[in-house]
Amino acid sequence: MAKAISTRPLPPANGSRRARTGASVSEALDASADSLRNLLELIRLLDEKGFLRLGTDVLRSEDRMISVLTERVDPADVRALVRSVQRLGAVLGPVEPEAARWLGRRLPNALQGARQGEAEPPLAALDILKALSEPDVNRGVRMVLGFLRGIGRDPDR
Amino acid sequence: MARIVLDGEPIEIATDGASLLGVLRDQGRSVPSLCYHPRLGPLETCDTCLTLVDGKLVRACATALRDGMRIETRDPTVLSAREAAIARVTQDHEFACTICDRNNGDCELHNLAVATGVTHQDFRPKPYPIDDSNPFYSYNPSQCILCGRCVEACQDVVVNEVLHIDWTLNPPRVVWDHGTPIDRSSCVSCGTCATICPVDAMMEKSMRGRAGHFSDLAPVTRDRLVRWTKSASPDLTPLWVTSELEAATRSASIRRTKTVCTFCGVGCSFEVWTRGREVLKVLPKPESPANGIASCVKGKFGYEFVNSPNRLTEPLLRKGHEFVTADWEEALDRVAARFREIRERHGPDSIAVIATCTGTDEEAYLTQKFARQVLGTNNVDNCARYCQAPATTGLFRTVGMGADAGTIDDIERAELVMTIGSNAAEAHPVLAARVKRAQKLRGTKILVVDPRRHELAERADLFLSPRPGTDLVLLNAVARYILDQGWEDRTFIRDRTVNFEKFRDALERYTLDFAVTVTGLSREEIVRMAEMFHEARSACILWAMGVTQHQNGSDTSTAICNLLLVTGNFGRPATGGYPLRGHCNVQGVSDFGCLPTFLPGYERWDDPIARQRVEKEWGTPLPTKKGLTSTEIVDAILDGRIHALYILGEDKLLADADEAKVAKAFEKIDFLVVQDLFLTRTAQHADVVLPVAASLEKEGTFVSTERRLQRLYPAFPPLGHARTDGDIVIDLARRLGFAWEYPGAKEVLDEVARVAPIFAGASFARLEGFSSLLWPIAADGTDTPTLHLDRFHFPDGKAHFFPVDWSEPTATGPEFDLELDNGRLLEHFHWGNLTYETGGIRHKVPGTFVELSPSLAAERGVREGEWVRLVSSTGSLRARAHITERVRDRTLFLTLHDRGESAVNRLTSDVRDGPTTTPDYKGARVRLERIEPAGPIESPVAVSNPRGKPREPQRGVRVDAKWARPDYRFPGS
Repeated sequence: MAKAISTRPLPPANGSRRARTGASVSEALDASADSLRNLLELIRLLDEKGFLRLGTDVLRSEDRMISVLTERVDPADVRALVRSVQRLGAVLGPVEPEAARWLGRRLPNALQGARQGEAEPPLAALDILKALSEPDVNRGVRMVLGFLRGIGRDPDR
Repeated sequence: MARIVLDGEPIEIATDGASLLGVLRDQGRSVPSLCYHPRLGPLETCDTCLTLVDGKLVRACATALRDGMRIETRDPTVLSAREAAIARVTQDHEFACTICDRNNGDCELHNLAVATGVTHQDFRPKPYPIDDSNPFYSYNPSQCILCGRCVEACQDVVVNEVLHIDWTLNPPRVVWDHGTPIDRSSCVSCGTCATICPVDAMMEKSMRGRAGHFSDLAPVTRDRLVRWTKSASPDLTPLWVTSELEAATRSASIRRTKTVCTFCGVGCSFEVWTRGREVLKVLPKPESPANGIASCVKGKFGYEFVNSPNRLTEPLLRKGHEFVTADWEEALDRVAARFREIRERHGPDSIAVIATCTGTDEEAYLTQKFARQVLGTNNVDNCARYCQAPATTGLFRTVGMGADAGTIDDIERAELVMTIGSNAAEAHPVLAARVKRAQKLRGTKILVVDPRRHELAERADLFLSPRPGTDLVLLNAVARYILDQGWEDRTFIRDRTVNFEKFRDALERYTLDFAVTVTGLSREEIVRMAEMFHEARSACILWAMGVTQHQNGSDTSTAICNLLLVTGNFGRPATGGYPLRGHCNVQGVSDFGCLPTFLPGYERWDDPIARQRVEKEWGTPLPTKKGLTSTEIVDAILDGRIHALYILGEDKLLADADEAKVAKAFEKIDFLVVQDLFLTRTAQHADVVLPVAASLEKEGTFVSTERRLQRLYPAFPPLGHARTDGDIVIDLARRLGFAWEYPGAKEVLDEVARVAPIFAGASFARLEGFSSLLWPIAADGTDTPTLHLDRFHFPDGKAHFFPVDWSEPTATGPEFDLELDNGRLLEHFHWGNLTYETGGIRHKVPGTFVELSPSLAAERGVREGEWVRLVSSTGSLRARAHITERVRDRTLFLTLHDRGESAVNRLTSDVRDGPTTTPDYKGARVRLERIEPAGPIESPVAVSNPRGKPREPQRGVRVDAKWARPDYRFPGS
């Protein structure tokens, strides 16, 4: 005799699901223990220097800041600010959209690499030398140096 | 062959008469265009593709290639005219790409501007507010470039005929009806306008503020930022760069996955855009074989159920009077142990399996294999038993193959399209759109036979409404009249059919007088129907539940096929019979063997050759006893033959006729397993409930009503701990002693190809992306869009006339004085288990209702919105009244989208079609009792509902009205 039951238990934030989730997180923590310790050190430093608070405040008040920026600030002042941004645009301006796409395709990799690098142990000078032997790192460093060289070059010279 | 001179160079082009725009692009010329779309053709609104032909500027999109043309694409006149046209377009659209949700690399205006080197714009905002009223999409006039694609799509592709551009306004804009807010207009929210918009003017709300990194700014903030940025420097070049970068970062998190719609059986395929589990949009693609750019409200917007908090995410076990959660090990151990125990005690045929018609083909194959190999029974069926089994019988009897004769393209090309017992515009809207389009653009004739004046009936060249249950008489009488007039296709009958004499003799009593008496139609109406078949060089008949869900569903389906045969409308393009499948994979679940009398590929269960082939592949003998149908299974539970039932994805309690009888069976059965997305009414009776993955969460193939196999890919993993139907079945098979090894759905399809000749050439590789194949598929991959071209599927290769006779349906008592029709609404799907989860759909259609005619309402004193009670010989229900002229006289129509007190199968009885045991759902008779209102009443049809609002038909975008405006100048003139 199977009479209808129209209610079901709440989806488990309890019980088995939590246990399984906990187990998988625990495994991940073990595998990344060294990286996490380094990450925590980085976080401590960022906090000491005030960067964390600043970043958190900016993120939390993003809407408000933009609203204030656009509502309260004298457009003339903002124009100066925008011009500064436009100067960056002027640097980027001659960049062909194709080149932007080229850069765009690499950005996700770069960001992912940055996230991974953040979690790795602190670098000693020897580590940097070792890293330079990796082809991807070496190519990246060459590109960055080239970029710095280019941006530092006086266009009027 | 055309010999032309292109930019001074003589060349030869094979395709004389082709679009010049396409030819130029094929020749490597970069020609801008915005209004042109391959699925729409030339609209001629944007002027950006201007080209010099024989010294004159012409729009390349609207110019056909001709021999001898001299074409210049690089002449300064051309470049300057194009530049002027682009400048004019950019006046209508403000570039703010970095903060635009459309900045995903596919904004056609952005791409054109970048490609043509636009660096400045003279934007002129339009003085109209954004129309945000519709729950699914919005329109921003100030971003609208007035290309007219949305209008063309609405008017001539999906033929909903709501949108037009009011060229008399200053400035012009897109309007709905006569300038009605979208949500109050006749718009059916198919979303095709948003799909086809080249910019962000018409956009899915699920994208707005969510697709971009910076696109969720408040409008006022957005406007200030844009204004100040532009006042600092009007040069757009930095914008192109930053927006390209922003688009690139988006692509890292937005996933685009090809899928096939999970609702009706038309087989619309889409690209679904997701970020994590969030569905950003569903995008029909030009290469979608069944639908192109078209969609309906469910397919485009009805996916909120996927992330619903009501979804099942853990297995549930019945423990006393409650369900408790369990892990998979415990749940599957329980199921396996109980199946084993019951099989040992009562034999393998004491267990039955109902397969899901929303699972994949591969899951269907595994399900029937589980029943036959693991459990050892042919007791496996699916929901085709409720709907199209009688149609299949009619086709098998006459042409030897129980499936649609051709494709939707065939239907669109026919000179006459008849629908009978089908409200295709609501139940199969994208397919119906092709019929409406054929009528509007090519003059195809539409003939509708139905008790209800639905949209296709309104549009029909002839609409006949015979007394319910008498369609067979009408069909036979028309066949006889055609023979009496000598209008039959004698060559076809002689060369390609047998049994004609027997058929003609059986029509003896179907005179016009007899038909008039039985059907209630006039002689003139019946004759006119015969004349329409006589006048058409090609005809298709589409039918659905209005035919099959009657006591004589198989015979009426057979009569349809007989009529097509007598007029020679089978076995050639643009002809044939088309039962329209109602679920996304009800075709596939039948094709892949979830039927008690068919092995995969429609090989009879008792055919020794087929059995041998399957047994060799499986390495085990097949069960030798004939299986039970889904409706017979209920009988067998009640009389003690079936002790365990395994139901996959079917809300059988609500789907079967006579709900009370099914509930009684579920209360009696020893062991019930249900796997579903939700705790459905059926699942509430289960001993074990298993949570399953939705179609967006799994891989495999579906077969559409056209017999078209298409792949779907997982957009994200199953919710919580839900698993795919296939994984669950495999796991159960292993627990019951069968070492099934299927690394994925691909390997399952490979096995099907080995055991079922009609799928011999089916493979994942051949179905990659939007590729599709229509079965039968030969081993070399050749498919069969149109059946019966050379021979019919009988050993003699001939079609077989199959005489059928009509008898008066079983009557109920005289106290049940009203006929009860029932069926779907456009917005909902069946009991609403999926569609009520989407807020916008609830907004449009919050609940079910019963339609009654104004005359009946007046006679019974029923007002709009009042509750009425309907009573049949089986049961009763309450529903709210909607008074409409869609129904006539003493016929009621109850929408079937209710799971509670208005659920239609409280009223239907279990009288069945003889050959198939399909219930006579449409034959219910009821009495109506008015319920005195306890408080204020309101219409059950929401004010936002499009029903009853007049359409605004026109051909295309009426660009001539644009050209006639005083402010229009042809660029370059």
